Amino acid sequence: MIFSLYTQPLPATSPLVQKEKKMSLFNAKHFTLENGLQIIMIKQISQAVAVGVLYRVGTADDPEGLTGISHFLEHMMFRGTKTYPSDVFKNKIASMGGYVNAFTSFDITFYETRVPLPALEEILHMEADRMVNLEYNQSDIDAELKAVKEEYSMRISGSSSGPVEEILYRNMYLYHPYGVLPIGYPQHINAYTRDNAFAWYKKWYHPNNATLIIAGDIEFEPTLEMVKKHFGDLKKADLPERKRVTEPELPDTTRYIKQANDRFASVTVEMHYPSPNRSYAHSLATYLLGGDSLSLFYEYFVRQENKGIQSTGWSYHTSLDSPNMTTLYFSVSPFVNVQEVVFDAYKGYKKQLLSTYIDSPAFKEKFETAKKRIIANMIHDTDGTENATHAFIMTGYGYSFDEINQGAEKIEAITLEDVKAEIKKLLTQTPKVVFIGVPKNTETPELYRVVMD
Amino acid sequence: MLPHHSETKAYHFNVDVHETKFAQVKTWTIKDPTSKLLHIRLVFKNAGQAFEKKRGALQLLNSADFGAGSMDAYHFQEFLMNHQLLLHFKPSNDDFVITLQTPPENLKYGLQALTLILTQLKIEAGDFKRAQESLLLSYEQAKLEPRSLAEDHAKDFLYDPHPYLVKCDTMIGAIKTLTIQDLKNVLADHLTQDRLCAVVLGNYDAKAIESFMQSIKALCKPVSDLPKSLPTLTLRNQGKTKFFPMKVPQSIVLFAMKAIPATHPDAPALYLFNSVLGGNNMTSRLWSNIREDRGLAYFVKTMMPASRYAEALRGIMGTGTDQVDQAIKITKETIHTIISKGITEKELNFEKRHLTGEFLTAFDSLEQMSAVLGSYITDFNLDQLKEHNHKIVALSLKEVNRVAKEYLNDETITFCILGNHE
Repeated sequence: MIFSLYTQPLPATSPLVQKEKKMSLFNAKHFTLENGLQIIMIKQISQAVAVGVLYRVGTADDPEGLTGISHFLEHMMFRGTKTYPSDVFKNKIASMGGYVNAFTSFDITFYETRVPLPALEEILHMEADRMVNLEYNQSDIDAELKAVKEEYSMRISGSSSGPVEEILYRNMYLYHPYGVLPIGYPQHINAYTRDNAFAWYKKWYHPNNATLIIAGDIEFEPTLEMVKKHFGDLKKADLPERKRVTEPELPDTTRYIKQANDRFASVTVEMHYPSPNRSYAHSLATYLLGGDSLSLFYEYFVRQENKGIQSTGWSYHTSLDSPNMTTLYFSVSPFVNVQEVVFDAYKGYKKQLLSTYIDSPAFKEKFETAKKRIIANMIHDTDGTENATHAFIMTGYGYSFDEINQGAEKIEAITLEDVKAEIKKLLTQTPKVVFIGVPKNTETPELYRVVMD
Repeated sequence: MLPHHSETKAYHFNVDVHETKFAQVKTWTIKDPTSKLLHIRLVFKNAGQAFEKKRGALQLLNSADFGAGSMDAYHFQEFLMNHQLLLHFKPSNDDFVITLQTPPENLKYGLQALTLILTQLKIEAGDFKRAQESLLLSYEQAKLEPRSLAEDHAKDFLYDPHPYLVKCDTMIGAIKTLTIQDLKNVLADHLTQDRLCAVVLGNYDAKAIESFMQSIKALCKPVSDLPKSLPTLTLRNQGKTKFFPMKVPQSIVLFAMKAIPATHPDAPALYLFNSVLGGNNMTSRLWSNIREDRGLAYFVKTMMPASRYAEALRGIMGTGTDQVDQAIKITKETIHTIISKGITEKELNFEKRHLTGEFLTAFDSLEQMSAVLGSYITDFNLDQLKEHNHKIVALSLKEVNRVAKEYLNDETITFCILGNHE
């Protein structure tokens, strides 16, 4: 997933930022029950309450031959318990006018609901119940297998970008399990059964492997009592070790993927670089380079050069293990010489940036304003229960409660030298994978040829 | 064990919304002194894209990098960001909306930015050309996407011509003719005092908002020369079905039938009825009959009219090529049955809770609250907003089923299908 806290647009020098320097972003508290359940509560003025349950298990933990079973289990979690059989869970939330969603990433599985505040206790009861009492039959399995296969067809095989994404990750990670998308491959999906999915549930779904996040107009102590009432008696369990392999670095190796597609109206170029995990300096560096329309790359390639690049930016994806991935993208008009406008120009700009600009007073000024913009973004992103809940999803990727809640101070503490070092390291690497997507059947395919150096 | 106290209990709306006037502008407010932010929504009613003199101008302005006063686009953006201002233009078909979100102490900079935009908008040729090219490309891309292509066909087949319905090719033609001056003119044409109302949320000071609104009003022309209203969007080819060929793995089915506008006194009853039919994801009759029981479609949904001058109940479904005929057959049967036999008491009670809860949860972030209040303030009074949930709760089974029978006729449903068909 993308490190969204730090990749969204915005602001700087004002009383608010200065005032926030020593303040927490959220009015939030962190608790741990005796059974190991982590609880994060965020107090917000709202008519809604958001409840998130984060389990520390994802695709990268899946057993060999069953990649994607964490994602399949996510589907089965809506199939009910004795108390709330089959679709009753979803229907109950729908009857409250609530919103329900879930996702599985490489490292976590996350369930979220947003309902009117009076329904909070009922949601807590339902979440505690399905944490330990999941129950389903073969027909539920058959129905969800069909749904997951449909999902694969829609998102991957039937989509113009899906196969590219599969190939991209396969090439970014040759050994690490991040190399297969969270939905797995069809052969994996065909191997899921009632028993292996249930065994997976029994292995990972325990209070001591979960974080409960609640955001809304709540009082901390009474809500904690409510949580204890529903989760307090759940038993902790021995958890398996999360085994991950180390991805070899393979320096100076770039894989090029090119796709001509008759559903592309314009050209896309993506360069994917390995990057550190949990690095505030790296996130600030990528934001300064390409996090918004005031970033260095947007200013140079889009506004200054103005030769057909419609948009460009950098994004820092975060995950639990190293290496993470940092991506540079260019969205380019058709009938533009891609080699010249993207690849040659990028090479030239890197040289200019690293040789002189990075040490100039102008760069220092850009660094200071980018830092302030990120902090201001964080403040705007505290609004609403969904934003609040999502901010603390980062605890599943190794960030602590305090790191997230004191995120503004973390950013404030980054020095110019830290960011320079990150940029130098990033831009002197070779990308691991380069993707070029071009319109098919154009009369000028020579414009889309690139030299792979 | 939790007592199941609330199986059928609807939710009461108890949000503290007030109506006031700032500089004689009708304004709805929700005050939260604990908020770190202030949010202002300026709504210019009947000044949206369907009212444009030159089509595409609002959209192009919205996507362009522009400067103001002595600042070029870069420095203007920098000015906004340096003062933590989130300033957005949001043109819909009906209305033109400006939102400003800021720390309360920076409101003066927000006013400064808006003043500069409205008096000294600056768009450089390079920025204009790039925005124009980018918007044209997005329409070219839309022509390759099954969903938007299906919508393009539906604009011709389901409806009579109307300013709401502009096809991709028409937009491409219109955008190509636009000039920088057109973008400057569009603000003067669309932002007028007579069409302005506002929503103010969060941590605000009444005196500061009064002064802000006075200044904004002074920047707007007193009276608009745009059309006062639009004709009602009417349906054509009623009861017919047409296939539009495209080689895609999943067919897109769009359908519509005449209903009533959102401001009609019977709209709450039909709104509830539609939720049972196909509006409520995962529990509606169409969802159960088509997706859950038969696996005929990956998604299916029906929607009440959202635009001010529309009155059609619309539907959308994504289904496999070999299942289209059956999916349409079941859709027709489902709609016929629900209109002729009505919804059940159990469905009525389920939806009362669902719809009242859904309305309440929309009052969450400033942005969400602003969107809800902004959509109500133009066409309803404050009591109607506050009574929303009461009205839903008061609906009887007889009334809901009477309204459905009175306004809906399943024989008039028109289907437009894009897919891999003969």
